[in-house]
Amino acid sequence: MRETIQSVLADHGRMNVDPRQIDTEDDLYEFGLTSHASVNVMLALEDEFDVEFPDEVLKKSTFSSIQSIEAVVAELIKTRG
Amino acid sequence: MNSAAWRPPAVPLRVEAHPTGYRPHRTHCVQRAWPQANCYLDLWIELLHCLGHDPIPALACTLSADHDGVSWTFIKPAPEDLRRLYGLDVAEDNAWLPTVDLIELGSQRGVLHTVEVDGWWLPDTAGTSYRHEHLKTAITPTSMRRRQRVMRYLHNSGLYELAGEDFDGIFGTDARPVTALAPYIEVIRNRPDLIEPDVLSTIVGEHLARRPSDNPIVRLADCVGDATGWLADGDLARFHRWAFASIRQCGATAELLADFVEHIDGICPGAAAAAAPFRTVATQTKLMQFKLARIPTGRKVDVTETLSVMTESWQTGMDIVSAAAG
Repeated sequence: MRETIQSVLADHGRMNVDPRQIDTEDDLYEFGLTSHASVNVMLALEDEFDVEFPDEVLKKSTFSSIQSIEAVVAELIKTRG
Repeated sequence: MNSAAWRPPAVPLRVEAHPTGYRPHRTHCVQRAWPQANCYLDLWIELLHCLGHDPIPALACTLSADHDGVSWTFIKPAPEDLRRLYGLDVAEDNAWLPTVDLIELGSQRGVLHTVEVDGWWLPDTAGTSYRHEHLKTAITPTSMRRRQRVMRYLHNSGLYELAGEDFDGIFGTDARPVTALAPYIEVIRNRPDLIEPDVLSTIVGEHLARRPSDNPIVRLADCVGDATGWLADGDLARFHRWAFASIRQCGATAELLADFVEHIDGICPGAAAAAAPFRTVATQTKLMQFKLARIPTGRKVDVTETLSVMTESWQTGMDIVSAAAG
């Protein structure tokens, strides 16, 4: 899962670093993840993992780190069954 | 250039800050819902911050923001507010010289500029527009070493440096043919004699008097309703342009309004209570942006509840600040 998230971030995050070269808890917004790019990341993650982020996690902090994304997506996949 | 007749102001306008270790103003903290509003307002926040001023009073302009059915107000500090609050006189410069000459002469004149440039050449936008997309944006050059082709500049939420090919690109000083018109340039003059002490309560009253008589979120909601139709055409790039003009400007306005009402609580007792509902608007616009982005991908979206919360919260916030201002 982590590799897929990093790949999504590399393709859609438009950050000033390679997401494969940063720590999973690093703040992605500090690396230039914009509001615009975070929307594209969200859409790509929903496509990749065939999930839909519910309203309660559709907030900035969900996309603030690889670790946070991973935790939310893992929970959604688990709930989906 | 003969400068013998020029009389720079008694206190020239200069930014002494250095890009290394530069700390942006707190309203640009990345943890905020909307750490950036638009290039011009963000530029003024950092410029005032660099000059040792508190930029929050300049956010009075958020009180009179509106949605006209197509776009949210592109929020900008009013020139008369900048003049009365900080003694900064802002006007279009007489751009009879090439842009690079005007900027270079800024230190001699004791002035600063805002200038429209192509984001293609701004290295601080690495990952977004830098060498990727031609995008109009505003900067304030803070120093220039022309012979070395180096310039420091304020842009969005920071202070940066560009050099070499980027310097040539920004000013069109290389051998490439010039195909664009000269950019819009504002000159900022230091006029401390124009400061009006204790003017903020007057400015608050003026912006409140100019605010829409009804709730602008209602018009934003109508605009969203209309957009849910054409967004289904699948053009995600158009969604982002529309979202910037409507959702982001509304969200950033609300978040900055929260800072502003807290600031004026001393002169408008009770105003700070409006901060919470305005911050609710800011976070709800974030949620709405994420949800609406799904429409171009072919999905159905319902943001009725989100818009209802935003409408009610905006009204609550405005009622509080209006009552507090008397």
